[in-house]
Amino acid sequence: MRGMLTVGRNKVRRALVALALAAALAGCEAQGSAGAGEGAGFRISSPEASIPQAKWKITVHPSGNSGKLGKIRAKRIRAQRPTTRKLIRRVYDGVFLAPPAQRRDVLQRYFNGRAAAKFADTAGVPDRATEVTTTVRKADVGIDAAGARRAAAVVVVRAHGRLGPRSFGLLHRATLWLERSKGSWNVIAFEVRQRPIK
Amino acid sequence: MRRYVALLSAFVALVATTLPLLGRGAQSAASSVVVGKVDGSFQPKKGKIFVLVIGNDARAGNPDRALADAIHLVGINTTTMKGGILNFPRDSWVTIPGSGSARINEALIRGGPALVADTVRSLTGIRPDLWVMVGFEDFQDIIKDLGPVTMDIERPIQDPYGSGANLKAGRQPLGATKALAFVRTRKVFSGGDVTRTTNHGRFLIALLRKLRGDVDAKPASLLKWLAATREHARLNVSSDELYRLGVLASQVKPGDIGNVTVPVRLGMVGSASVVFIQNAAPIYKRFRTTATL
Repeated sequence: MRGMLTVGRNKVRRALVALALAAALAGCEAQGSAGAGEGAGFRISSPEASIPQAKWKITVHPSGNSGKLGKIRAKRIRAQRPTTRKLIRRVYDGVFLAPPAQRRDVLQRYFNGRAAAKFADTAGVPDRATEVTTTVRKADVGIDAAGARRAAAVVVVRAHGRLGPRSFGLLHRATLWLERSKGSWNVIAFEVRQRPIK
Repeated sequence: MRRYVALLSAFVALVATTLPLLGRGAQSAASSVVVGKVDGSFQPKKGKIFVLVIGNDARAGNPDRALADAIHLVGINTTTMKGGILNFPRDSWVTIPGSGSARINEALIRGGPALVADTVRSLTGIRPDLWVMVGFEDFQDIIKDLGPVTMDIERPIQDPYGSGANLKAGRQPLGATKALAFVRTRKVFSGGDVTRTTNHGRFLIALLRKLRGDVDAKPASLLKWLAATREHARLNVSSDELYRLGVLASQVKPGDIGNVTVPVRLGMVGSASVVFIQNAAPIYKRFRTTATL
């Protein structure tokens, strides 16, 4: 899918829509990724690391509740804010800014194997992209008020870069369906809409 | 008169309805997902899933033992991402496993949702993978929680002495009261309960359309649907499974769901007015094979 992006050609602009259900692929992936998310360190080791990037704007709020949120539930939601934010930042740093070799490692922390590959193919910049600069990075995360175990995140990223001699730009919008298992958040399904822009 | 068509839970239906996952995209790679279980096993059955949606006639609560006045088998083919809703009129005269012959709606009162599932299985050869059930109040509560459901009403419906429906023709939002009136109405239709049963399927598809719209506009609204379903419907799936089903349901295109009521003819058994299912074998076979209608 990355190949379809054909960045740099003005006339070739295809919107990509993809949805994958990682959940289906494995009811057991939770174990594989458990514990890998929060504790492990992650640092981008690419030239992009030195390029100023847009600041993340991530809002996290309870969803699915009717009426006032009780203290216990509010506390549960608050406790998950840092971890969901971390997931968003890492996944998107991975597909936009990390070198290809590092990208898969990052994604496999939060997706099962097939879903990670599919997300990598669908979202982010081409493998050979350089000088990637993000100009918009924002996300809105709704966490299930009942148990803070499920969440839906809408992520928007606008980025520019170069592919060989050509410059490219793209607008990425995705919905990530998240589930918390054994203390770690995982992406169980996603839908990506990504299109080239000038 | 006491048989109300308690309708189905919206979401649940969808849920039921759905299961194909990747809806609109170019990449529909993911495989089938399976959820719940009637007999305790997790079973993706080669890209097909069937969900039994039951509406009982209990005015309060959601008891196991009531009459099942709405019985729908929802199938989805996760390969083609198409599906169908097979509707059974409540007065269908069928064989209830281990319990002789009776109207199909009596299966619930005789053996709970599991016996309804067994009855549908013996009738169609299709084993439902899971079931969901709502009662009379549940139906309204779900609509109250989720908001009005937009329906296309072909002709005005006025049933002041029956369901209380007073609906004009055309596309319109139905709140809890109007929605219940719509799904209860049967006497003013020439097709009576058969038409009502078909309308249930139409309502389920309208719910699916609403789910898709809500999730498209704001994905986290799915969590509200889940909360409403958990609170008001009974179902044999876990919260995690329901969540995954909900994600899938939100990806199903309503236009890809067929709505078919089994063909019947009117008849009598003793002094009881019933309907006999006839010429349904090809429909069952197709549904069993493709999960589409």
